[in-house]
Amino acid sequence: MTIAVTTFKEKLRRKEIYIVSAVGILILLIFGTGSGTLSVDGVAVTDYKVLALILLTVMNAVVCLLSVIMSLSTIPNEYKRKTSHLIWIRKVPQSRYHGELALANIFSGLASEAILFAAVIIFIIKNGRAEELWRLIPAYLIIGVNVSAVCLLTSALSIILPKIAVGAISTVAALAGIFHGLLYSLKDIIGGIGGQLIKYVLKLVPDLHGIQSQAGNLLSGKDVDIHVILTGLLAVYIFSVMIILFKRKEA
Amino acid sequence: MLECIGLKKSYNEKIVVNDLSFSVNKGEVFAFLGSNGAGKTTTIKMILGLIKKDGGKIITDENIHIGYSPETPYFPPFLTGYEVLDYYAQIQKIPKSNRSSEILRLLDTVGLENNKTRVRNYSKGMLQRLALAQSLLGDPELLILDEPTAGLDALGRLEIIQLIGKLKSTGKTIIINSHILNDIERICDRGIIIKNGVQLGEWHKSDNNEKSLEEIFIELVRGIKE
Repeated sequence: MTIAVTTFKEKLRRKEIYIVSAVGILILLIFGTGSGTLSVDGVAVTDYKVLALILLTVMNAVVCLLSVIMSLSTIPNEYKRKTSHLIWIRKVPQSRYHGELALANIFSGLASEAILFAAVIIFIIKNGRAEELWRLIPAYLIIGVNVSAVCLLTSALSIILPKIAVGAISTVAALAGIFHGLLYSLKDIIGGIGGQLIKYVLKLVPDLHGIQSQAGNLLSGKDVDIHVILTGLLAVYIFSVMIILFKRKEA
Repeated sequence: MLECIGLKKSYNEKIVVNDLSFSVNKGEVFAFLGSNGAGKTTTIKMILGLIKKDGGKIITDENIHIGYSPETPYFPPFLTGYEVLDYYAQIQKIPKSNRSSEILRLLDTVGLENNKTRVRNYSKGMLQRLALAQSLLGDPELLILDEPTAGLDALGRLEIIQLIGKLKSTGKTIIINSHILNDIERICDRGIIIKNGVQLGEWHKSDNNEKSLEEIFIELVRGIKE
């Protein structure tokens, strides 16, 4: 864990964390303080359950995309700075090294999520539901599955692909996961080759929207579908195996 | 201690190291000499096992522990010198019981103070000394130093050279990769001059040469050009 903890500490000192804080404050302004009003078709949305779901959807999207950004360069930078040389000569296997660096990415993603959850805390208190604050812990962990999946996928791809390709693939995968439900409906509407393409993409990416919806269900007191969360955990497992299997040559 | 026989390495069909053979004896300071792109770093990487060789043999003493100091060391900038060494000591699985005493001893050896100064505030010379200290963790028999004086001012170079001299007096076997010939002449016992991955000649300090290392080097390297 030494490499993971030190890399995470280093990431905490970089600008990403300030970007996350700024986005968190923005979300706070929209949902928490009442200084912004959300409206759909000109009608102001005031229902707690609907607002909670929208808040989590926005948060999930922001934290997943931030996870891509934060995980993109961790492993390539180690090779670029040749820090890896000092690891190999100490007989640390690649799988462990890459695994610890990916873990540092997950820690960073979860830290960002924690900052963004401050918005949810204020939102819940402002809506007079402080007694439901405990629900935030399992909700945090559920969205944490999404964060972990995105961090692991980006980390795994960054072992074997150039940065631009990793950024593009991971962003498309994250967006497809975030808008999984929407794309699922869209594939039937579009049909043809486009519909087929969407169908295959949806088969490849985890249903990040579905998982986040379970966190929303939990916050609003609805039933949680554990199977959806399990598919997310399966994706985490598959991406972890990719990190172990993928190898990178020293230049 | 170390013997390389017929080492070969190519990148995209370009030969970088070609049939390179040399040996390094226990307790000596050995130099790899050559201009940029001569194949020095590639050879070092092959010895360290960082890259695979295309051919040849590397024979070392059994269970040899090699320490390595890179040319441009990067350490997490928010850590202190002590914390950097602790980080690598943990990775190296140095027992906790003697970790602290070893780190303090190494900081003392390289002339760095155990204080709160972060690596980000280190000078180039201090960074090189810290890189040397991390290479000494676990008391390796063989030290490989890649351009240890590159980018340093006269005083910084002198400090590193004195430090290498100190390590030599403790019986360490040291391989230095450098193109700063003055430094090599002062601290090394022997070396090979390479160009385009081919060994041009060998230099011995004890030969009582009439010519300086610089003159020998230029003669050999120019000879290949012509």
